[in-house]
Amino acid sequence: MSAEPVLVVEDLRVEHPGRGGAVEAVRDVSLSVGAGECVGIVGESGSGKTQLCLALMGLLPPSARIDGAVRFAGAPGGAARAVRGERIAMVFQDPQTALTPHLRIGSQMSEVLVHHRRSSGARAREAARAMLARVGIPDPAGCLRRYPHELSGGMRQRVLIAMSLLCGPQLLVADEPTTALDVTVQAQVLELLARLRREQRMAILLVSHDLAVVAGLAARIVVMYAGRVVEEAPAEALFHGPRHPYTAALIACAPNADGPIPARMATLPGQPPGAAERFTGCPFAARCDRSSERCRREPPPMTAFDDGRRFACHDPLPA
Amino acid sequence: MSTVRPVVTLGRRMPLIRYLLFRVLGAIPTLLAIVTISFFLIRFAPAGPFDRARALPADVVANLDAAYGLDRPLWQQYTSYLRDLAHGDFGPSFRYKDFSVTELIREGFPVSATLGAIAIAIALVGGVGVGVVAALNHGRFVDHATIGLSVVAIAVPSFVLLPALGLLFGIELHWLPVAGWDPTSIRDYVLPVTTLCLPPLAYIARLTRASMIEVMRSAYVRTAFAKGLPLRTIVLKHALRPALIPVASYLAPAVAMTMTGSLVVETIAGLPGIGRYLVQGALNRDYTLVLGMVIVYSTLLIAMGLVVDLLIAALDPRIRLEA
Repeated sequence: MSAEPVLVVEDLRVEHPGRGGAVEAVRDVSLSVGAGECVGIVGESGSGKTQLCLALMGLLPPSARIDGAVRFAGAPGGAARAVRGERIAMVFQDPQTALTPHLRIGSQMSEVLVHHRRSSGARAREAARAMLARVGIPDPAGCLRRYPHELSGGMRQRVLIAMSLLCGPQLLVADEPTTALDVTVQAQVLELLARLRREQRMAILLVSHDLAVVAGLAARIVVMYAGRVVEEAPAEALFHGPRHPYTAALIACAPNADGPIPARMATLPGQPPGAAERFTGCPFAARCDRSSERCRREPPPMTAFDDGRRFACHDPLPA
Repeated sequence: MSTVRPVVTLGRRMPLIRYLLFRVLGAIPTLLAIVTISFFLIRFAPAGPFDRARALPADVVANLDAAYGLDRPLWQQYTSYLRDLAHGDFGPSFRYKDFSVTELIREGFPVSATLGAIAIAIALVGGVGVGVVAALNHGRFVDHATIGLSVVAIAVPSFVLLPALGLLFGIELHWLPVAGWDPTSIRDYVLPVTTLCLPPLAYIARLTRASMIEVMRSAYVRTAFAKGLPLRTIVLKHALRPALIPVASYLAPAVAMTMTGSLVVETIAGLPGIGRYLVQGALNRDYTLVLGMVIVYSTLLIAMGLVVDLLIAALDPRIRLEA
């Protein structure tokens, strides 16, 4: 782990008040991202990953109740919101809808520099062109004149990544950046992120429901379930010896291209508890084959270890 | 050095000129169908232009019918009407003696069109402004107030609103004339224009509010927020244009309706427009006047339909104009 973290999240809690009680999207999440480090967040849909990202960026609707602390080292007072788009940037899940349809790529990219860096239009366009070339767009000057619908999904995601990097952010929050893309394009985008992280020395918070996506890039992986962190470990250690049964189940469910083709894909029966659901014990207890009476009664405390691993389980898998 | 850039992004297959030609030529059969249907509809309505409570002497009726060509077979009247129409002649009015329909419309249309155009322009600017402010304050007091007031503005009929305004600003406060028309006096415009513009303004405000709320929740607006852009830029540059598409669609019928005048407003305010001709013409069986008004209204509607399609293509580059 790096010495000085760019991002520290402490006991973050996100609730959306609504009819029939508040929906708890994120519950007591703590994590940190070091300078230049790539941290992966993994979890099923509905585990609160996107809500966590939006909370970090200050992009949640004003009705959301947010508790806990988010400190971003690059911002005065630690508020990411103030340096959004400049020191902390975000790439979204669906490149099909994340670009404004009626504006040319050039206009959408250069406005970032015009706003944050007070660049002239011409200088901003030139910087945008150079950044498009860096992310591997074949005809960057031509791309600037295009509308989003004239580009393929992979190209659009590259444009979005290029756009987020224009101001040289210290942290890139990438929320499922490859989910909407073809598998081959997925690999290209992940490679691009890895290269940019090295070149720009930028930290990445890489969020995915897909362990394989995170595995190649992240040094540390945080596993989320039902809005909570259930386990965190260095990537290598997590794959080779998961301690939380949920992590183990996730790994078991990931299709393995190297091994024999199973007659039936491994699945995890049941569903995660809804965000509006209340429960007393461990959120995973209902689906866990190791669960006991105690799991259903008492929430397991988070236990941290010296090797950077932590997990919340009453009856962890043996190390 | 100059580069020519098309105003509208079109499909590569169809240049703008060709598209316009298609649409204009395509309007001719539409208009012909409208004229034909209207011609026979009004003719098949019972009674005629010279029927009165007390019947005219038979020889008088025969003379009148001969003078206006009503004694000929219907299909002959139809073809001769079309022939005159092709020469730009709408025929003589059956009711306004010594006036041709062309004269009536040429005199009245500028009055109605001017008032209508001003009213629609105010409705558009005001409605979009109010709608955007309401959408940005979604769920708050400003929003609820806008919704409430817009219902009132749409629901109150002009025959209540205009006299009420006249009573307040004309008779009580003496600020504005209650009725009368002097094209050079702005004061004469205020009350009729206000009455004409309120319902479309309220309707445009509601349309804008609804689509703006939706657009502000869209993924690309979230991207714009993530880029750290100020709210003003996000609203004006990223959100407003797509939010205006429903408003643009509404403009075609609204402009055609408002620019052809309002029977109620023009009658109450004593304006020499064409608003009364359609209803009066139909009631009086003033065959040529009704047809003339139908032609003016449908031409305006068809032309605005084309303008709106171009406008929408300009608002959204993904839309291709294809005939």
